[in-house]
Amino acid sequence: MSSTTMSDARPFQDDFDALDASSPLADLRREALDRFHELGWPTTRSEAWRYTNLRPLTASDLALAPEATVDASVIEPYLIEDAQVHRIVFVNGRFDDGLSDIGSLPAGVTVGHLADALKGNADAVMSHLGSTFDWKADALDALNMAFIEDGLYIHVPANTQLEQPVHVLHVTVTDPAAAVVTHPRTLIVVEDGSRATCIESCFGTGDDTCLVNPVTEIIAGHGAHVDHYREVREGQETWHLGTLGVTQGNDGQVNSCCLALDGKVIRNAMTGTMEGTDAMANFRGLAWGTADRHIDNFLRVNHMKPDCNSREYFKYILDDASTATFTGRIYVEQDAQKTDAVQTNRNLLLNEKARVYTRPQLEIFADDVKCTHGATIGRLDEDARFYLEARGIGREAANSLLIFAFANEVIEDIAFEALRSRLETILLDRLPDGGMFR
Amino acid sequence: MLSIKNLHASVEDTPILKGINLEIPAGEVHSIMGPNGSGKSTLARVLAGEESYEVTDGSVTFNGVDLLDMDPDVRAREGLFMAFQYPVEIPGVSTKYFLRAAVNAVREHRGLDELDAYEFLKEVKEKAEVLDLDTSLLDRSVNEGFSGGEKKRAEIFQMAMLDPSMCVLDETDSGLDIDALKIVSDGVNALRNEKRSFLVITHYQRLLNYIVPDRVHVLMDGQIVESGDRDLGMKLEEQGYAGVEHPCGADA
Ligand SMILES: Nc1ncnc2c1ncn2[C@@H]1O[C@H](COP(=O)(O)OP(=O)(O)OP(=O)(O)O)[C@@H](O)[C@H]1O
Ligand SMILES: [Mg+2]
Repeated sequence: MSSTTMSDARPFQDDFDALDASSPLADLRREALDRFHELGWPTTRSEAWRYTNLRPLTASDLALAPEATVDASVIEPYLIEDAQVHRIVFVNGRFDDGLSDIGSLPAGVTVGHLADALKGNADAVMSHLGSTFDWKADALDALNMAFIEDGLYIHVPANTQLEQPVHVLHVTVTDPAAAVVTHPRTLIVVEDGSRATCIESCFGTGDDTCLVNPVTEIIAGHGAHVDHYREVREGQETWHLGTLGVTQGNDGQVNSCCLALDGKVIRNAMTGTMEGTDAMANFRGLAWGTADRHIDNFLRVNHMKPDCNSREYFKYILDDASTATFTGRIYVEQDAQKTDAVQTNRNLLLNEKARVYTRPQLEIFADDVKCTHGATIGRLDEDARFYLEARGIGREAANSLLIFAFANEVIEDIAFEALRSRLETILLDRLPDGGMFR
Repeated sequence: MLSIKNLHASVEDTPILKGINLEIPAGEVHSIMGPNGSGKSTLARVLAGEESYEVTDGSVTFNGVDLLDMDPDVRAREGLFMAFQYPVEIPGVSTKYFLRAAVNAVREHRGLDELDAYEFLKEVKEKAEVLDLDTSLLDRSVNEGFSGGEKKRAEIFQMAMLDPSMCVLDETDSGLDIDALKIVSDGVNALRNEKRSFLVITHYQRLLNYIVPDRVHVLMDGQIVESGDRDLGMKLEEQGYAGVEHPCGADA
């Protein structure tokens, strides 16, 4: 298949030209597209993309996903049962009013789409967009920025509790005739002393090759508490190349958990910056590799001020010929004394052919800090399995129980109970005889 | 009940069991004593079906069927239970979930209905009470962080829950304090009946004062070298294993 000469020279230029040029974002978008063209697609020669080769994706004819609609039955399996949520649905990156059910919100809280927010208070919104990480450093982040049309905007004013979680569903309508691209964008601003929970569920309608390039930014004020989850359950040929940027003020807590369950390539590039003192950040991840899936967590935690704690805990289950990489950089500024940072990557290898590369990187400029990192690679414990078998549990079921136990460590602490039990069910359903342990 | 004939087993090509013959009729308690490394745990683990032990000769029948032909989980469901000398810690696996799955697997095999959560907990409470077992242990991961004695007690508790017909206890007394030894022994004795058999592996006559065996066997270097009634246990306690005669090439 060959691309048009136009897009050979300036990929996505046609798509870009079709965007609304009168948007308050027009200049920023143009700058971003230029930046994308300047950088070009990342290659494995760059440090950030060393273990994730985009060639097979970029060789195909990529085009911005067109406007689309889906039936309610498409999103049904992804809804969270037994829980009240503010639901907001995006199909191919565009807000779907019919499928969304935002419900009533506490006074002053916004849960809506970016396009609307930009009409109202463009400056405030724009001051946050791209503020949590260096978007100019990465071509995919620049590309997302170039194509911001819509997205999710959550704003919780000071001293406000958003009790119900926001559940955002990003649906990609895949196309057997073309590799589509979507750029979901989420901006979560939680002001001082406030609280919010957001779950992102990313999935597609089919198993055709496509690129999902989501960027989520969380700006947590002083004393703010934010729980964030991203559930990646894309089609089997989807390249999900996600970015998360987090900044925190003093005293607050941000928990973010990335669940990489389905997709061809699942990347989670995360930058968490602790700009204040006495804050806590908890970054967790569970990834499940089957077939030839590739998983890439590329994490950076920046400690800029004293007395902050950060925890990174990522677990991989790797089966078949799946591959995974974990890069965890902890940066501690000279001023950030009494930093306490722990980074852990644990791997369960279920197949000889599965591979994992794990790279901790510490850059510490303060002298009174506690930074530890650890990585382990193991297989199923045969003694444990024999013990289970000796109690009457079959081999398959025993394996399943041990795999579940490994995974469960990441999900058991999920504060939002309905999500926790949903994930438990998803995991057990995937495991042979897993139903025994419900 | 259990019939072991000329059983030979090796680990990594090293012969450990060298021709064991043992008949345990229904309802009897047999004890095996023997020096460290003589093969007692190997026998227990071979009976339970651990893969790393290779049976090179001989046979074991359990209620008339070939035990060695069954996978370990099937042996358990058929009614064989082995209390581990060193129970395995399994982080992340809740004892309650695991045990309920095990109980229901066994029940299904025996044509019984599944226990629902309520019935299961009721059963747990009853059985735990007999063994004076703190049920909060069951909310923790399997054996994780249990004290030595708690682990042993939990093994016997599992045994009571799974209702086996052949119980192999591998040094269940080691690690138990004197009171616990009495409680666990009482728990075992409460399970004794004319249909259920026991093979009790121990180093100490003291246990056999509580769980009184019908027969005592001495295992040395992979063979049973002497068998007798409970007096044999007392004799060993006094004289040690030096006094036991090695059979000269005797195979049966
Ligand atoms: N997996 C193994 N690999 C190598 N050697 C083994 C293995 N298991 C057992 N053995 C050896 O087999 C022999 C018998 O061991 P076993 O554990 O059966 O002894 P035991 O009679 O139970 O001893 P103890 O009284 O100390 O519990 C020992 O020499 C032991 O080192
Ligand atoms: Mg032993």
